[in-house]
Amino acid sequence: MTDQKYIRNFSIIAHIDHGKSTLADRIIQKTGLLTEREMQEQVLDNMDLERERGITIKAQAVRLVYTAEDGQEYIFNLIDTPGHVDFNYEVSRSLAACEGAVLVVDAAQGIEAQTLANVYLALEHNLEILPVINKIDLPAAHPDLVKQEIEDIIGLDASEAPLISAKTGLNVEEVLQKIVELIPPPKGEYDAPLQALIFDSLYDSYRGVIVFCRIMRGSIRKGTRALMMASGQEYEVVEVGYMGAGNFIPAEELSAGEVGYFTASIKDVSHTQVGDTVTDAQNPAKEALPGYKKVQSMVFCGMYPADGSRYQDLRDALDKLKLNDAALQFEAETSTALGFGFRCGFLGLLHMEIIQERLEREFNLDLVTTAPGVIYRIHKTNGENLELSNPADMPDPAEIASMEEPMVQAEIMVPTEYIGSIMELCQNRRGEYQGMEYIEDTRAMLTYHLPLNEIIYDFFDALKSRSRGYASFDYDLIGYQKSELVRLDILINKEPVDALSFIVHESKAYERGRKIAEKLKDEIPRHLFEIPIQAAIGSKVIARETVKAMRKDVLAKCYGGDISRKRKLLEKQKEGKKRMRQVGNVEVPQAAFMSVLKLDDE
Amino acid sequence: MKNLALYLHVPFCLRKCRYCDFLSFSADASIKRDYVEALKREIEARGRWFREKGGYRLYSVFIGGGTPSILEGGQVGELLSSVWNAFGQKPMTNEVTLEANPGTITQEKIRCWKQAGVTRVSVGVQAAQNILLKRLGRVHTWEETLEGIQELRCAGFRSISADLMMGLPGQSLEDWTDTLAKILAMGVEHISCYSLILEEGTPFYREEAAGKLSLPSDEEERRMYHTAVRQLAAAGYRQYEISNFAKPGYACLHNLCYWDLTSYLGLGLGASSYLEGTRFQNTNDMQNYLKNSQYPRSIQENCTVVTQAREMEEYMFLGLRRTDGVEADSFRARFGAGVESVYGEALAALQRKGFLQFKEGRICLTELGRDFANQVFVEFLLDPETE
Repeated sequence: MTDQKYIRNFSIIAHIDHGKSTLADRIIQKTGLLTEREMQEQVLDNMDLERERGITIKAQAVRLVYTAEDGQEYIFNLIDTPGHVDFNYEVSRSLAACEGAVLVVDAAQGIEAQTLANVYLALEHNLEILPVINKIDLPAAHPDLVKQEIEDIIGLDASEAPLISAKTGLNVEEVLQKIVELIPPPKGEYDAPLQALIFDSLYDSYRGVIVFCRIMRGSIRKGTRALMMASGQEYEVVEVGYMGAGNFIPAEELSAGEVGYFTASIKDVSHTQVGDTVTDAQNPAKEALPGYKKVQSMVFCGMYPADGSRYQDLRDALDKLKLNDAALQFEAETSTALGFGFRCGFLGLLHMEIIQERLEREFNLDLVTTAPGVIYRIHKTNGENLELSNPADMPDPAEIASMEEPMVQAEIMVPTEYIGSIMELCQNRRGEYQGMEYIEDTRAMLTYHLPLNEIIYDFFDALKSRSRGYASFDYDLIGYQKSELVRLDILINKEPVDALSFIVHESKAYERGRKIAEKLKDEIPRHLFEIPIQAAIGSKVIARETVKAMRKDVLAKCYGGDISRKRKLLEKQKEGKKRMRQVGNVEVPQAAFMSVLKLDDE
Repeated sequence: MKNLALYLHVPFCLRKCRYCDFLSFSADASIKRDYVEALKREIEARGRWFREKGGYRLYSVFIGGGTPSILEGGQVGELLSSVWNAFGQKPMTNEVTLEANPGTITQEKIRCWKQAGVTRVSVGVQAAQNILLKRLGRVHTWEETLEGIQELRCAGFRSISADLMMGLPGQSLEDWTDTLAKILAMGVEHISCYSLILEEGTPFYREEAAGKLSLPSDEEERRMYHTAVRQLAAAGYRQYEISNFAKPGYACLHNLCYWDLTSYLGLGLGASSYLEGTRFQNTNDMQNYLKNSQYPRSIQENCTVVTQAREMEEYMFLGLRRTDGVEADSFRARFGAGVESVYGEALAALQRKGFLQFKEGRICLTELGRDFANQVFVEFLLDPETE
């Protein structure tokens, strides 16, 4: 048992790309637990995908030993946090496991929307915040301006903030010393009943779920009857220990103030949900730690294997991902156009994209996905209420008294020259202006209330393109609001295509319908007959395009003896045919289903 | 004895037409000389193989390009002499075709061709409107075409073919019927009507991508084709393949070999062969060819063994190009299985669509099927599992 005095539990918080992972690496290196050889580039981000995107998805923790200037050894538990709004809840649980946070701000870019969102979260948890100004080696660095920003906007004293370069290692030592001096040691009685906060878990095929937790009170050891207070699941602990950098270090026990892991032959990550409290079934705590929420999917879409025969492979792949991702939901669904697939639920759009990419990359699956949607609330005329995540399940409009859609409060940080263009974008997306604050002469923060279904498409891309990449954005769900929503159906040759239906605000239906019909017209190849493409609300057609009938498909050309070339052309044609989906008697390419997901904003 | 058709490739042109993606380029006299020498070395080496192997007889010779008529008359003579020497015989069909561009025809050359044993000249006419010819990047005018064909006639050529193109940028139906009428008036024995196909990498392809090429619609292009089919039939030409029409007895025997899976040997840069159940091509690299043409095996590329399944596929998708189509009995004789047992489902579906017809033991494209021939052919590709 380590004396709590010598423990520091902290996270690093930052906007994407401000250098959080690099600083974490540097800290791990400086504390000397790793040799240069062991040092992978960016130890904490251990998934390729995350590394490419420069973000960390799964929170993890590492235990480090730091010898301070006074010669005393300190235990540092560095708890990494995911850097994206989709994972806000996970961030908040990670922060709840800490006493302090290192706030990294890029010396060239200053405070961004996510910086603020994370700082507010940290303040909510009463964390001591240690500001650090990174990338001071950049030619565009303005550390003094950034310090001023931190003081003006966040209200933190930044006069003592270390000026560092995580990349070169400059002044990182100072950060370590400040962690010892500024961040308070944990408190919590050793003799009290066990209360441990789960902030992450990992499925391991040999040991089952490895649960990462912070012991708030009491202690846990091999043989403890661990009771997850929210899920009600009980397991006997097999092993406890600390997380080294990339390895597990078994220990006798974990006690109040410490951060570590335990295993208990748990087969299902959903039994150990993030935010749940672990206690000792034989000496249970009176109450759970505050703040537990069941994770809820916010964004839904259908996912289908491009090759119908790989349905089972897709199921296996989703099962495997689910082992490590309690937030991923899926259930089987059938589409007349796309065959067998799954309706999947995600925390947000990024989460959705990550799962899609992992399915394609790690499991070699070719996917066709349907337009992402959110959960709508429907109040029926008969007094019944229901939640709708699949447009196909929408009741007849005659039975609907009213509908509600989820709203978010969006905070957008933007250089002043782009304010007009960004406001126009928000307006187009049915945003309600809430306010604007000047952060400095050249930057402002816009606040809008926006329907979630308007930002899950391509809002982020549009934001970036309208601000030349300078705008940053963060959002919070603020509840439901009544809205005039309709289901837009797409008919190809008079047949409704279930996979293309989606729910949209009445005012947007016409425009969206027209764009989709235009897009499909280009994507659907000519057939021997004319194909009408219609967008309809109920029985009312609001847009129509026509794919003209094909008049010829023949190679009336002399290729002489080069038969291989002719064969190749035919093989290509046949390959193309295989990738078609049958809608009635029309063959629709897979690409057509995907093309409607990206409709140009302008 | 098996038949063997012989093809000689001449990869030179005065300049490249704007739609052309065949292997050809402009070159100076010395490269042409070197090439003719190299081609002669390949002819000698292949001729040796032909004589030693035995079992084959020479069926036809076709000198294509490029623009074979760009060669000096004497060079054509040299090439054919070395063929007769190396292969020890003249073709049994007595069909020796040479492709000619009207811009390169001279009386002197015609005399040489005749002397060398050329029996058939295929003239690249394309269109009768100079504005269209110019747009295509052709090096000749309609007047030169007229003159060239007349000279060929005067020199005693009894078998002349004209290549025409439809679906050209800016070409109207009137232009097309005008071209047909003018060519018919000349009384050529054989006419090929080809559609313009935009091939990647050509200037036309890029212009179309940039929206600068005003092509007739598919509807208009088909109208041109259907007009040709009608008018040529009325003028006594029999359509014997999707693009080919001939007076009785003048079908191109060499080209028919490609469609009925007769063996053929292609000599020269990039030429394709189908020999001993294998398809292969000569190298496209001129330096390599000039250096190594006397060792034909060393310049062979892309060898593909034609398995029974591939052979069935090709038998169908090539055979169906012909108006006579595929004979069910011949299929059975060749493969030991009935065409119905291999392709029953596809045949029935294509017949239902009105693309195929069965008559007198033959399977043929219908008129509609000719417009959608690719959709028919693709159905005859077998799934890999069955191969």
